[in-house]
Amino acid sequence: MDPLAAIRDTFFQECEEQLAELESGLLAMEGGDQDPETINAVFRAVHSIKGGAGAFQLESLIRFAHVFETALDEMRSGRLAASADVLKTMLRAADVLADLVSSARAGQEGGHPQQAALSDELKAMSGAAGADDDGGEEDWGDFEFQPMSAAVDLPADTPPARAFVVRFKPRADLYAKANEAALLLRELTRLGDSNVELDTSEVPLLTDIDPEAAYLTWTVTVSGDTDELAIREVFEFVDGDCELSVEAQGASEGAGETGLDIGALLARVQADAIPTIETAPDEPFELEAPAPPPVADLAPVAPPPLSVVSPAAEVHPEPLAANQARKTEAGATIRVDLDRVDRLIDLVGELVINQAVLAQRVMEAGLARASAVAMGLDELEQLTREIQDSVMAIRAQPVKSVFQRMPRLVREVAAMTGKPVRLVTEGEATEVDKTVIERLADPLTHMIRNAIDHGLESPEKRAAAGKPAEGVVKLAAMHRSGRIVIEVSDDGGGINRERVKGIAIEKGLIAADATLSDEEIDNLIFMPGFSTAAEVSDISGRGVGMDVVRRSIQALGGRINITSKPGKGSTFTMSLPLTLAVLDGMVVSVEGQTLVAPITAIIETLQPKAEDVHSLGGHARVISIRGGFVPLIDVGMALGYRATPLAASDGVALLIEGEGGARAALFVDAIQGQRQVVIKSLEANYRQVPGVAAATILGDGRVALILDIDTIVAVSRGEMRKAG
Amino acid sequence: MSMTVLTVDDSRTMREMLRLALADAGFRVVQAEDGIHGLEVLQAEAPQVIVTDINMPRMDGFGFIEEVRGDPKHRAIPILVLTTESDAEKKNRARMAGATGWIVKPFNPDKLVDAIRRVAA
Amino acid sequence: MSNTTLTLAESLDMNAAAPLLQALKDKRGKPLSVDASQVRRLGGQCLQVLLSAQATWATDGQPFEIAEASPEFTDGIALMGASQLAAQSTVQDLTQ
Repeated sequence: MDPLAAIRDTFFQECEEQLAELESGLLAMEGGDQDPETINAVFRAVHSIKGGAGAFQLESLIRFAHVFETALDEMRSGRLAASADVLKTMLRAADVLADLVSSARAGQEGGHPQQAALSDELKAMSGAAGADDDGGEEDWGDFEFQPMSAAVDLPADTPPARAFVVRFKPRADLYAKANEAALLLRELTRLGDSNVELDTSEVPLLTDIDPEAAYLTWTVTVSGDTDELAIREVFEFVDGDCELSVEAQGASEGAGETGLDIGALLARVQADAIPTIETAPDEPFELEAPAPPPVADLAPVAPPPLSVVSPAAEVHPEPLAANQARKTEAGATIRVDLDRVDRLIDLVGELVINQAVLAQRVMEAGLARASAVAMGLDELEQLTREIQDSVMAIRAQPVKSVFQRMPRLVREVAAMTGKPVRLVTEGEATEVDKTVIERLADPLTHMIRNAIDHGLESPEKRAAAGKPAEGVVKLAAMHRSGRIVIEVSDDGGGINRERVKGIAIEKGLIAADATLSDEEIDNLIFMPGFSTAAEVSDISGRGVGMDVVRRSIQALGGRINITSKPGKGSTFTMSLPLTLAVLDGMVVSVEGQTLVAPITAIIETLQPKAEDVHSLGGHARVISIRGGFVPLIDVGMALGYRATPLAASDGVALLIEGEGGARAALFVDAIQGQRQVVIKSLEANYRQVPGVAAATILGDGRVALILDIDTIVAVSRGEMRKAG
Repeated sequence: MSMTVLTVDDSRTMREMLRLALADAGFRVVQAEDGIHGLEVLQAEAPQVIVTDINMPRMDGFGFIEEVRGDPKHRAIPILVLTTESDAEKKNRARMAGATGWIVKPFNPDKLVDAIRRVAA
Repeated sequence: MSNTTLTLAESLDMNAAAPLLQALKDKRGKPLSVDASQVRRLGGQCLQVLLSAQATWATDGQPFEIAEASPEFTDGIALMGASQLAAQSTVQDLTQ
């Protein structure tokens, strides 16, 4: 990959991190955080984005970041109070900055509709100092290219062969800053034919000399194709640390004529010998795109044009405690290609299987449980599990990365619905597999929209109910018995059960006379087709219902349910596996084959009675469970293991909940037990097989297929329709 | 023997750009993420030049420069600060702290390399 | 009485000025021959010290000479216009 393209990728990755840092810092400040390191971090985030944007010439991003940074700098230096209003504007600016980053990443450099307005607001905040600094754009415009050794060949508007007399007297500070008179003279004498004269009159005797003081004065006459600008440029870094005067002399009155001058001679020899490092100044090697013409005015002696900075500009010294806190926080990390980690996970999966195979063989060999081999094997198993956990932990990330996206969403939805909302997050450090995190964003987004739009009441209704006007939406994560649990709750009015039931009846989802528990009614909102026109609003509508949320959670091997208290609010609880590499499975047999059904999909297992199973013609059957009918799917038939269905009394039914909450009963020959299995992708090793999600290898070395329940149900549905 | 340059910058993007520009010019590059890290690297490395950013967590560029200048072992190492053209105040503070010179961000690789050659023997 | 010789360090940068001064002070009162053949780098502050030493030896009425010099040392004094410190012989780099 082109190194610059790779750096560009890094830049955008880093932008994401900086934007997250920016937002969480601003939110912390909104919550009363007054740690100077917080505002410093916020400032740094915007500053870094600007810096990188500058390198890639992302103009609108640069411009906006500059204005934003200026305002933050005012806040950092205490000239701008971090009031609630100011922070609100900063948060909106952070949103605009995020959008500008996204468009820049997509290669669109068109700016942002709110950019101008917010820039003005930020500038107004920055006040006088900021207004002076309005030239930020020009500042960024002229960085492009100013030849540093302008001497090499400047346009010929200066008469050639003129000479300059340079008087140069370093101060001690020059040396103390690791500048070196010898190197400056070297640069200077490279500009043309030179004669160096040294005045040693101020050098004291050894008894009085301070080895780190400065006593020497040089007078250098430079002639040739050079000009004052180039000469002053040599001394750019030591401006203020030396006495310097540059005087032009009449043409061709140069040095070099002073007979045998070793200095000048040597300088000439050196100048010839030095390979030209700077080729031609008009062909610079640049990381950036082609440069605009050099800017003429850059006399280094002139004080840089800059706003007057008040003495209050001193940055607050960072408290030691904060520094130390940061130090522990920034642990040593390495960045590893994800493929390598996945390969490792794969290998550890093999190890787990191998270990299980070995254990089974040892058992079969009839060795006593207390034998040294069996005990050693137990230890091996322990160790293998630990390795597996550790390897899985590499892929684990804190949910913070997805939680961090939510405050912006809340602000937007709050603004659109006119409901004041406070988002409270908990357990951001809770870790879960990277893929799980990535796939959590959409369902969480939808649920939070939903919580604000449907969960929270209008401010008037809240007032009438004696609640504070500001609604609270809480997002919490925690580990619970080997899974991660995520809760989205609101302090709104709770589910309107009458209305939900009404809608469900109206939509034909339940019988008009059905008796349902409160819990069952609440869970009706997950049914496909529940969302109605009356329910769909701009915010949470968009044709996405809670059924889709449930489906995506189930696709991750998770479950979701809702609890609600009238007048108090609702809580959605999701429980997800920590990793997608292992699965809790129910091991079953069908026609001598061993299959695994994901436990998350199974509601209960039952032994059907012959009289509960009814044929619909063909091979289609239904089973009656507590008064309702669900399709009974013969897994052996569905996968083509047998041509005729197993008699109802000869097997076991697994009541499962598939796609969109549709129930079905999977009919298998027998249940072998439950166990955790390592998922091996069938697609990667063989090919995609309908009805089969993946494979695993069991302890006895047999390959077992993991059922893709949704597909089996969908296929059987289709067949049933044909039959019916 | 090629010259070793230590770069101190908290931004990965900048670190990668610095590495690209400096390695292209034939320098050996060692990198640190902030001032404290920079001081740690100095325990093990003897760079001929240091290029440092100013705004960094834990220890910023000013603090870092002061530490280096206060250390008899390292005080003679030229230090270039990365700064923006618009920020004269920071440039001056960096000079007060003991910076040898500065490089305007976003830097031009040629200028960077040139500035390094100017301050290093 | 034979000349005392002082061999200069390789790097005569700002850090070397104080030790150089001390070394010179220790040799005071006797004729001094300075060996600059190892010098790779000569800075302004060490140059000051060497010039001061030359003047001091002159005041003391003692001979002071740069006996041998590396090309880098010779280049350095030429660049800085300190021809009074020119060596009697410059070590030739035969590879050139």
